[in-house]
Amino acid sequence: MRRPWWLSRLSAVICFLSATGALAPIAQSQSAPPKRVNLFVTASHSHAAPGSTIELAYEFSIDDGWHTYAPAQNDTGLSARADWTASAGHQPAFSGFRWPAAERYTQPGDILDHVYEHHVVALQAITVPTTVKPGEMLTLTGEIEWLVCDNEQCLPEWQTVEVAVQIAEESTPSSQAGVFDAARDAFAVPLHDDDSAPVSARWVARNTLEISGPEGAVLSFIPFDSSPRVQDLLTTGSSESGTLRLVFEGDPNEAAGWITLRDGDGPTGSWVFGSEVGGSAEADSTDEPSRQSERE
Amino acid sequence: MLTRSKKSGLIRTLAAGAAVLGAAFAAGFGSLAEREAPVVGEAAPNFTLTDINGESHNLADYQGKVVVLEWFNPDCPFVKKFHYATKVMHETHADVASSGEVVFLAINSGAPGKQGAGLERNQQAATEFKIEYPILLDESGEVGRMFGAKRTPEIFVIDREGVIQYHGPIDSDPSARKVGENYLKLAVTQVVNGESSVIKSDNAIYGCSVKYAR
Repeated sequence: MRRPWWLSRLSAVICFLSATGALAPIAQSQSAPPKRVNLFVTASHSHAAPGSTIELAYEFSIDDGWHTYAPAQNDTGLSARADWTASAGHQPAFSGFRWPAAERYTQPGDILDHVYEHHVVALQAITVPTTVKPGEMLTLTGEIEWLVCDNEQCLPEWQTVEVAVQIAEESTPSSQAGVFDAARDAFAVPLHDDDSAPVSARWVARNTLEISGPEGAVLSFIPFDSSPRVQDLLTTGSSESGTLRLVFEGDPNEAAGWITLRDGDGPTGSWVFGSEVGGSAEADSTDEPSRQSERE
Repeated sequence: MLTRSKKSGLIRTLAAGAAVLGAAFAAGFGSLAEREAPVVGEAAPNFTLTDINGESHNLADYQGKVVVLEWFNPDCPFVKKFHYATKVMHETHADVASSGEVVFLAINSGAPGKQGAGLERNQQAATEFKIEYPILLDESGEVGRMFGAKRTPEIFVIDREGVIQYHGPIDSDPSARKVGENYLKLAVTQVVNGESSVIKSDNAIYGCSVKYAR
């Protein structure tokens, strides 16, 4: 039986829409629960030379009332993670994430976490493999997973993303440079690089770090998840007295985290003590593995 | 004869009351008055809680057996990972508890009205997840706070003398979907065998927060 002409046209339109992904949001809204986080991943360069370093930006837009988790000393939750594969068996080298300073978030039961709300951008450096040659396309496929929670519930979410970078003799920044500049502006600065910082940190005993800041402002320390744990962080990690005394359970040379300062109007500054999360090339180059004080 | 709703109410009352009252403690278990959360190597504090079938459980009564305490919330995605998406808990329980030497107790410290809390939801979950061990309700959160339980799932393995030998996650992979090395099975096996060095797992803490009352 011959198909009517309009059915053939309709089939063609559906095939086109399916191929372009235009139908996907419709299907998603019918079968999947609404996501609480929208993720946008982009590369810093449209063209990259073999062996060069580029960056990926992970832009998380988080629904009001919900939060995601920082890679910090948390009692619960799960910070975002990414598993990447590259086209044609290439193996780019990924650094750790860099994140801005997080916020303390407490719950009944002496539960302390460090979270992001509303909007946060993380950066990750990639070294382009030398096995991929100019003229080729390096396609990265990533599975990004995170946990988003509100006061009542937690939802695991994930997204598969694809980023393509044209390999060339010379690297060329992408049109998304503004995203990367804004992300870097939001990052905490290394404390030992900021001569005008209103906070200082010094070791007063082998495992005891004293952080000082202006009285009246809320001074907090947020240990990275790679840092030795701080004892009784819920009560010692934040104060308006102008002083924090933090006792680390492990090697003090590995102690690292964000120092944040906020007043009634919100955050007024953030600094990194010790090594940056994940250790980007830039952060590593300024790190001092053995130190007695920073901005003493 | 109790109707279902009256029976549910009675069980809830018993559960809340029993946790507070405690009981006669056997040697090896700490007192309820101790408020500092115990750490590995210390005695597990004793408690009495009622399960979703109305049966009372006193921790001290299990002395001589290895006890696994699993903080539980059936609507936490990490709990679902082990009970529903995979059968890790079902299989682990079947593997290590068949000898009768090991007892599993799930504890839900969620306050009334919170996610995953309440008798009906946990009875439903026991069927849905095919859980073959008691689910104890701790709606006041007293037992959870006493142990310093902060997340679900969170595991304590207690040896035959009532001493905590393992405190940590079920597996090594902090993911809501992927499963890593089965730390729980390893820890229980080590404790059953009386091995002195039980796995340490502080590097893989993850999960939902326990939904305590404010």
